[in-house]
Amino acid sequence: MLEDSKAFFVWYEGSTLMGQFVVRRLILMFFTLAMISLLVFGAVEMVPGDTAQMILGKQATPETLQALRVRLGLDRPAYIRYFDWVSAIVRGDWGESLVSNAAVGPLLAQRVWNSLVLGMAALLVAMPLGIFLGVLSGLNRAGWIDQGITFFTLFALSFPPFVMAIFLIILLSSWLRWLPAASLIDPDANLWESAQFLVLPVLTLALGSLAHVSRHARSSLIEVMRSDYMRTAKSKGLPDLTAILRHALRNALLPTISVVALNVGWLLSGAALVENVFAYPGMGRLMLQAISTRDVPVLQAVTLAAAAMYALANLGADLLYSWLNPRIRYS
Amino acid sequence: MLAVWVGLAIVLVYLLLALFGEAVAPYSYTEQNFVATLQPPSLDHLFGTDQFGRDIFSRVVVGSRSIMGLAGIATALSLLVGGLVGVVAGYAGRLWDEALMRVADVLLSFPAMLLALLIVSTLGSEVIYLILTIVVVFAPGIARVVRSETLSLAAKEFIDAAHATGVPAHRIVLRHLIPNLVDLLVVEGSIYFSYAILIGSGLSFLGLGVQPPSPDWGLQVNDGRNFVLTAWWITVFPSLAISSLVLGVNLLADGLAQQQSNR
Repeated sequence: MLEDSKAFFVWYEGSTLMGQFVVRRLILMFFTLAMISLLVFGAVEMVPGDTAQMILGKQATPETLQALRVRLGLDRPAYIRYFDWVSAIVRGDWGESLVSNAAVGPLLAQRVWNSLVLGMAALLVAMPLGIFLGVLSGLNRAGWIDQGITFFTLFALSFPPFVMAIFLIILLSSWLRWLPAASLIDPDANLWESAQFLVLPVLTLALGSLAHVSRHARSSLIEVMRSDYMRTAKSKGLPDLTAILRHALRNALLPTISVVALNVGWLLSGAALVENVFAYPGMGRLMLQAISTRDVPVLQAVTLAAAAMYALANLGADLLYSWLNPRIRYS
Repeated sequence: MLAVWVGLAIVLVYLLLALFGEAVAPYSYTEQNFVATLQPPSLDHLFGTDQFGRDIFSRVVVGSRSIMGLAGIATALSLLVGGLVGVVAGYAGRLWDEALMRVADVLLSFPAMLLALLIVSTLGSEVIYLILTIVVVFAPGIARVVRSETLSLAAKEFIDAAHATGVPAHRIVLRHLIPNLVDLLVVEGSIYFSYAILIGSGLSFLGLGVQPPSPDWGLQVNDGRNFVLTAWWITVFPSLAISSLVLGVNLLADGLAQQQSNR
């Protein structure tokens, strides 16, 4: 063990600054995850009424309650249960649902996958379109195109996801009849058979993301266009288009990477609302179901998984950003 | 500039409705009328009626109180808590800074809505807990911004000068630091006010926020969902109320931020 840690320090000292940065970020990430797990466990621990009572209901006798507590291990102190819980998760055992008695792991994996499909599809729509609108807006600064786009994005940001969802349903299903309104009703149909059910939730989430990305891309492009090197590029006679493509865009789009990470948070938050409107079988819906049925293991698992995904997205964005932009790497 | 005034006007209108809504509402928000259920908008019922024959316009007008109150109080408390934590972290030395900011980092590593759901599901949906939830979700972000502004202020000469002339630390904080943070807090406050509306109405839409029979926009949107194809007005008017309020706050926040960056 000691030899290992010595070897690690030797390796750390000798590795590149980028390598050291990655290691430091990974260590920080580990501590963040540990704190998150404590918070999730602690929050659920504070729920009044214990799990045994929830399972057996109000009619249960004290003896049966006590027996169940012993069987579930609830009579042990909180810190032991916490370490049990964490070590089980590290081994890949996410516990059992109190409601269905099914293993949480496979259920969670399926819901995470569904949410990922939804979120990725929304990002794939939002990123290119958002960057395009933002750049268009920034290049025509204060012109009517810019004002139109700015107003559109502000407008899009003013609709909470669930309100956006309802307006899209009314517009696209009820009035224009382009899409089946059935997406409201059909709950657990196979994802790939029902691609049309994806259209409305994806569109709902994408509109919000698109507005974030576009506003960010616009302001960072405007900042870059004011910089000295853009003035140099122009004054040495580069055609506008070349100057923009070669110099402005590259630098302006770099900070947009961090917006993607923030967007993952927005997509996870928005998903909780949007999945509920469209009865889409993702993580957000699972979390709400767990809350309404007081299914503690599921609630803990979903929250932990969501926070871990968000932390990973942030880590990924940080690493990508520092890899693309060596100037900020070592802070 | 026009946009800022439009935003301010929208916010003021809703503020007045929140304070004096009953005087404007033509019907009581609880009054049921079973001969006039699911009526489309008309002169009698500007926004139509719901499945119990209640007047939607009156319910939207009176419902402004719940979200304006919740979002307003929660934002004010978040600014207070986040501002205090930020100033302490930025000015009280390395140890406080590290301790407070690590806690903030953990809270910020949750997507906002999910953290709110987790807290509300454990505490319950009393209004006081809803406020507490929003404060826990918002304060870390505000604290982080205030901290970095405090750090850069603390490095300025006028603070050094005050320090050198023997002004005690609490006086430096109260008379020199905090007045210089007010601009920042106003802009942050307007941004977080719009987030608070989104989270508050989102929670009540999910049935975890304000509970019926209180008139509340999020609740109303959810109530009308089952009628969205047959009686769109039940859900559309409270939806429009939420969006127009958020739009107003966003216009105001944009304008304030612009004005500050121009200075």
